[in-house]
Amino acid sequence: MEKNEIIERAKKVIAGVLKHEVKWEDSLTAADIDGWDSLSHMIIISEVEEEFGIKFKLKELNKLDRLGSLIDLIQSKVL
Amino acid sequence: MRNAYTIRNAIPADKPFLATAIIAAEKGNSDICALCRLFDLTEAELETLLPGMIDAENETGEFSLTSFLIAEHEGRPVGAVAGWVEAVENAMPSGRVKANLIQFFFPKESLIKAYAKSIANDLKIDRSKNTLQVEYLYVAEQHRSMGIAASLISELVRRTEKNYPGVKRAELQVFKNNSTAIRLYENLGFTLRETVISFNDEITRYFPCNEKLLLEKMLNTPAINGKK
Repeated sequence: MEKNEIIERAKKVIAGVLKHEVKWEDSLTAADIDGWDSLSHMIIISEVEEEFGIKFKLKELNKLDRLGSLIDLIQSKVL
Repeated sequence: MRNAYTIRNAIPADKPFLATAIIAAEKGNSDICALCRLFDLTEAELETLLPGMIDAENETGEFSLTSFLIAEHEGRPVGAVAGWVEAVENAMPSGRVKANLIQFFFPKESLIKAYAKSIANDLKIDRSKNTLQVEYLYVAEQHRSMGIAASLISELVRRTEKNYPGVKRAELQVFKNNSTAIRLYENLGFTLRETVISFNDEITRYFPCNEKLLLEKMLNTPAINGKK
């Protein structure tokens, strides 16, 4: 799957949970994004998994630090 | 602490005991386990999920096996405490590791129910980077008043001072209604740093008390006349 398509779909999922659009930059961390706290994080990850039909490993989740790394991880799983 | 007790690192066989300890510590001086109430789980359900979550591979935080010290009596665990240095060397914040664990192990409907409760963040106190975090102190009822809790925390502080000379402060969070625990922490040198109060009428449906305290203790302070 193309990276741009993954970003567009992930953006929709995140906006659906946070109820606002995120101005996308790969370098953004959760702390930079309004409303992305521990609870919304759990829902975002679950919704991303559903959207792409994938399941993250715990170790993978514990390495995610930026939006860019989330996209790279999704891409590695959907091929 | 009496000689019949020893303190050691937690091992995988302690996981069921740690599940019991975590739920009891969550409840503190009340019947309310916030993790159960927020995520709409029974204590039995949480007790089944926790041993899977407590793992040495979680590098940090209150669900890492390596964070726990155990007090042992006649070969059995009777007390526990978790302690870790928050976000040491830019490690992931423990709150995010905890969120990932809960996302991974809890049923999705539990996550949705918790997310719908905006009350969940009412009593949240951020953990300061590079401080010793003390959590989930527990001693089995028949072994209380033997100095075990004090020994567990003192050992945690001693190890942290030895292994992390750059860490200058320990922090712990406690609900204000838990006066026994607060007295113990004060006797160990902890003092009040911050108080958070929720005025939401529903708060005590989800938490043991509407007021939470952040206590702190300075570490690695120079000895004065040979005494700390």
